[in-house]
Amino acid sequence: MASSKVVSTNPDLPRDSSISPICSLLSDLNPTSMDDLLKSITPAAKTVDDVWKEIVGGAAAHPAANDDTLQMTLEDFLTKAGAVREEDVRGGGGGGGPSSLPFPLPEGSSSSVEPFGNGVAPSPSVHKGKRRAVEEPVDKATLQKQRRMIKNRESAARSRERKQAYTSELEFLVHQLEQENARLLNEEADMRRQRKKQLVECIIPIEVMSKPKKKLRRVNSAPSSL
Amino acid sequence: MPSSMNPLVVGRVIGDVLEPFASSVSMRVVYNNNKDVMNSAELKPSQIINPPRVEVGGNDLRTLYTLVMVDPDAPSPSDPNMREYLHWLVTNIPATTGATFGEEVVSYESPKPTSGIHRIIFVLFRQPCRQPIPAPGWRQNFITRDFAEFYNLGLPVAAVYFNCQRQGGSGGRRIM
Repeated sequence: MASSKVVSTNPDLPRDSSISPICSLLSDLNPTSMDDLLKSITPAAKTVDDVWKEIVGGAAAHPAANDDTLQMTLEDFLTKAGAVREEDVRGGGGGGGPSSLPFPLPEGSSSSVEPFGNGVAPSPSVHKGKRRAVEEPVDKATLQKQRRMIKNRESAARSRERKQAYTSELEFLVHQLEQENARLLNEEADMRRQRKKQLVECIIPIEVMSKPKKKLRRVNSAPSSL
Repeated sequence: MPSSMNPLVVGRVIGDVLEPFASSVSMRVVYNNNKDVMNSAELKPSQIINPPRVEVGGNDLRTLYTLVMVDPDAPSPSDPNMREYLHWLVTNIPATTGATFGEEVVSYESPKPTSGIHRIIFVLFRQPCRQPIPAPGWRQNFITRDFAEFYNLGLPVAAVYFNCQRQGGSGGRRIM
């Protein structure tokens, strides 16, 4: 999935099909209002880089932005985004938190910057979209669907991990056993050689001792003449 | 996929429960006298009812080890709010012997997962000396990391884990 960096103050924001479906579902983009919001957030004429730095700076303030340790799901992100909306904090702060998310790309990419590019633009408009979700029950069902999809993704990821871990274990054991086998075969060959050598060197002549023939005893047993 | 990666890392045992470490002592966990526990293999609850035989390596009988058995995916891997659930705790195991020669601080409780596929992890720590380790008040939310730090056990010297789901479960893709 191409992740375009859509950080821009351009009101005619291209609604890319490459943007995550969740974002497009969340955002009901009204270009003019978003532009107003962005203008209220960034009063001076700021460049894309300045805004981006702000957001990343906000993200850096949040602890443990490591994919391996932070297990925040998109669900939490939605909650956070919702919470942000309710408190009406500046969009940068709200967007800064979830920037460390493992965004649900199919490959499970570990980059936190690129996927977030998709999240920035709709973030201010999440305000609009989420508010509407509470009022319309249709979006609630959609939200449930989202949650289900996220859970399923996580479950699939765990399944893949299990499979990979098992394969790694087998590879390791095979390697270990091959080495041991080679070692043992060598040892056996060595021992055979040693034994053969020993036998050749120390041939002990074996004397065959014949059993002494039984000789007849001569005894004077003739009857006396008296 | 990187080849020959540590299964403990791939399965997130290192990460969710343990710090990265290098194995330095051999440990062999065997259920029912014939089921060697292999990383990420699957065992059914019926196969793990009784405590396994745990053989510890090393060479000096004076070196003592602590064995911890935990489930980080309790009650369910999608919502592990009881991480980690302590199933067994044995201390003062002399090197070259087994778990039966140590002190069972927390008795063996056979895992019986109800939801999802759980990882069940065995961890071995080297003790700095013979020490009395009291049983925690409860089994759930036992944090192996904190436990090791509190009792000065340092990094693990060995670890192995298997997967377990409820007896009648059919979850998980076919591995092979």
